[in-house]
Amino acid sequence: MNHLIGCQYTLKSLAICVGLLVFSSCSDKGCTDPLAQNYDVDASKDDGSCTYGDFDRLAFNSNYVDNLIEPAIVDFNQKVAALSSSVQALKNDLTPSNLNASKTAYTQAYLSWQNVSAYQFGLAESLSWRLSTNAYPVDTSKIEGFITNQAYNLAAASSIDAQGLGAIDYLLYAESETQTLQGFAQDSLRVQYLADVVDLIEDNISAYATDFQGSFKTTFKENIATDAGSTLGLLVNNINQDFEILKNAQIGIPLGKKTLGQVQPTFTQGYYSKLSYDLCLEHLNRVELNFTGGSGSALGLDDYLDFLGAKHDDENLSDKIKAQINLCQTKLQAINSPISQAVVNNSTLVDEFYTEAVALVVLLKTDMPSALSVLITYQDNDGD
Amino acid sequence: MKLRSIFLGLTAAFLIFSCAKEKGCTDANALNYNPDAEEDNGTCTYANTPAYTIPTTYEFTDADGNNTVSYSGQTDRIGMLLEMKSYMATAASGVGTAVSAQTLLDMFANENSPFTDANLNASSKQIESKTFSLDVSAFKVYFDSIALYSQSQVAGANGTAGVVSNGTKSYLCSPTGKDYAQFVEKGLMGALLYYQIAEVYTRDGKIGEAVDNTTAVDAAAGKYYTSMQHHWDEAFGYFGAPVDFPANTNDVLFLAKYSNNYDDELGLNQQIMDAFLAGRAAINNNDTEAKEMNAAKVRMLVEKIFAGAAIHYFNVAVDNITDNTLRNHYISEGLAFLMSLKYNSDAIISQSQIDAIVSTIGDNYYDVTIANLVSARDQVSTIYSMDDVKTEL
Repeated sequence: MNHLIGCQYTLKSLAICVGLLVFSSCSDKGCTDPLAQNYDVDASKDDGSCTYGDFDRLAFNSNYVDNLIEPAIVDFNQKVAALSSSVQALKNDLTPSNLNASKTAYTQAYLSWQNVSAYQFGLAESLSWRLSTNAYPVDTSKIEGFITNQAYNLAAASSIDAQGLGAIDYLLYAESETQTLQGFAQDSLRVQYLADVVDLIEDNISAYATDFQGSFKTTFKENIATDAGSTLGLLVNNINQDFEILKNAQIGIPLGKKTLGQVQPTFTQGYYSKLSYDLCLEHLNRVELNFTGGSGSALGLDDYLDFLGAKHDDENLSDKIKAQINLCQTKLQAINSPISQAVVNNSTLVDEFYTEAVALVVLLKTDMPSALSVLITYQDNDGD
Repeated sequence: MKLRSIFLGLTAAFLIFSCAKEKGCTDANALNYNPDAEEDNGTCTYANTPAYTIPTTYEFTDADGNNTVSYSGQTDRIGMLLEMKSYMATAASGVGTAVSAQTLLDMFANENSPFTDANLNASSKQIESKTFSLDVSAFKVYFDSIALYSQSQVAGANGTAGVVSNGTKSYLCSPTGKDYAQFVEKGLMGALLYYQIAEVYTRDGKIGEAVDNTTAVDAAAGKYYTSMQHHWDEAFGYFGAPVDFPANTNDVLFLAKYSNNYDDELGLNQQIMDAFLAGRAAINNNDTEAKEMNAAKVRMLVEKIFAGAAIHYFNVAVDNITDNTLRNHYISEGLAFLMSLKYNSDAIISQSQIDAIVSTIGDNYYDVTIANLVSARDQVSTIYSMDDVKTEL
């Protein structure tokens, strides 16, 4: 598969060469294909000397693995470990300062999740990692029922909406500081439930980190094919699916896009902690990083698109996508308040952001995969 | 050059105006019909004459002749709704014939093999997860009400829940005359069938630019359709019509059945089928404009089925105003159709208009007056411009 793109381009340039051969009659010979490495602007007749380098897909994969994916997994693992210690300290000593330390550690962990949520590779898939870590909105009556009845199995599929970061959000923030501490003091099972929820998140991320940093990482890096199961294919699919979740779950659903326009403030991510805006901004910035692969010479999807000469109308597709991401960032920053409040008080601004996010989906999900010859294989998980 | 062409143009204009007969498009059906033209010059252009063929039945194949139409999930859910309807009807078969709320919940979610058709029990599909999410709990409350009232050991009457019978027909009613089986069945025609068509499968999320329309979903597994083609087929599947509708009206279910009931008055059968066919052909030929136009048509036409049905049932409630059994049943049916009109964000009617009509009827169907029913009917017919057929419906 590696040489396939090279072939296509050789064929394409051949067609251009033949075309020029027929229609031009004279003078300067050289390479006339703008996509070739040795493109000669002065040449009017192609002499078959065009050479095409191959895009360094190993360096591309390595950049994503070494500079984006692995650091994000490691960071989330550390932040969750810190959250776990804070919650243990709180459990042992129910003080306001321990509660605040838990909230701080929780905020750090939730922000870190925004940076890792796109990376559902290998073990993450079999763990249903995204859902078990961050299904929202949580079912608060189910959580209360679990605590009251002292009977729950967080590993069961039916417990998915009573756990994860959303359950911690509810347990730490739904009530005032005093009431929260009182609730924990009156019912030790309540703080135990909190600790159990954190433990499961910790177990999952540490298992995933170990798996990823083992042989998986090397295999993943060295897979330079472009088919559906390849690293490139998985990256493009995961980045798209992750952005659609941002667009739908973090914005569209609270805005009422699935409920005939009736806003659903409680459906936001981080509803009780009012972190929804910060989380969304962190997530969107990660979308940009996932596209550019980082600053400087770091090879990202933008570089790959440029290498292929991908255009959108007359513009470079990569520039078009970057501009659209920046427009989304501007629109999101204009909201600058919890999404749960903005959908009620300032829904026009949220709607403007949503509209630009929809336009970005078209570029990321249709134009980009088509230029990269990658298939979008994930389905909307609502079946048919 | 320029001066010369202007001069030529002026000369031509002079010639045309001085000629005896004005030429132009003389077909009144054409986009550029010129009422002053006396002689046709072959310039007529017509709207939406696609360069591709639109078939007359809902059968589509790919370039290799493989069938690309599939909507088995919709057929399963319609089958489940039919079984729910039959099960709820057993509650009306005699005083004290209890039905179970748990069975209805199981049928709603396809859990614990609740269906008589084993294929439905084996299906991975269910109704609940596809029902308009904010109303799922309201349907569950209806199930509880039906189960509770079905335990009544006395006949239903004003102020008493139970089976109300006129000797020919029997329906289970609440103390205020509500036939909740109607609120479930016609409510789900709205919250499931109509909602999925109007808000999900004919919208950008399923047939917009970002949805793939170039690659077969899984040719190796016989899925020769693209995602976009499949989504359109799923909308058609929820309509409940045979592929050769309306030539064939034998196996029509739910939406297609009620479209057919009022076809003489509303003439929706052929229009709806044409929109589904033209929309699918447009998708096959990447004709975005025609796709969007027909998506909007489907939504607007299906909406009229609900409006027409509401008018019809308010009419027959008036005709049977002294018959507790029929009047209660028809008002419940009409109101359930009316309330289902909300499941389309482009609906002609507004929520406040729906609420106004509901309150015109009032909460107790035993006490309703003819004047209120006629007023409710007229409000609907005015909103939907159905005044000319409102007495025939």
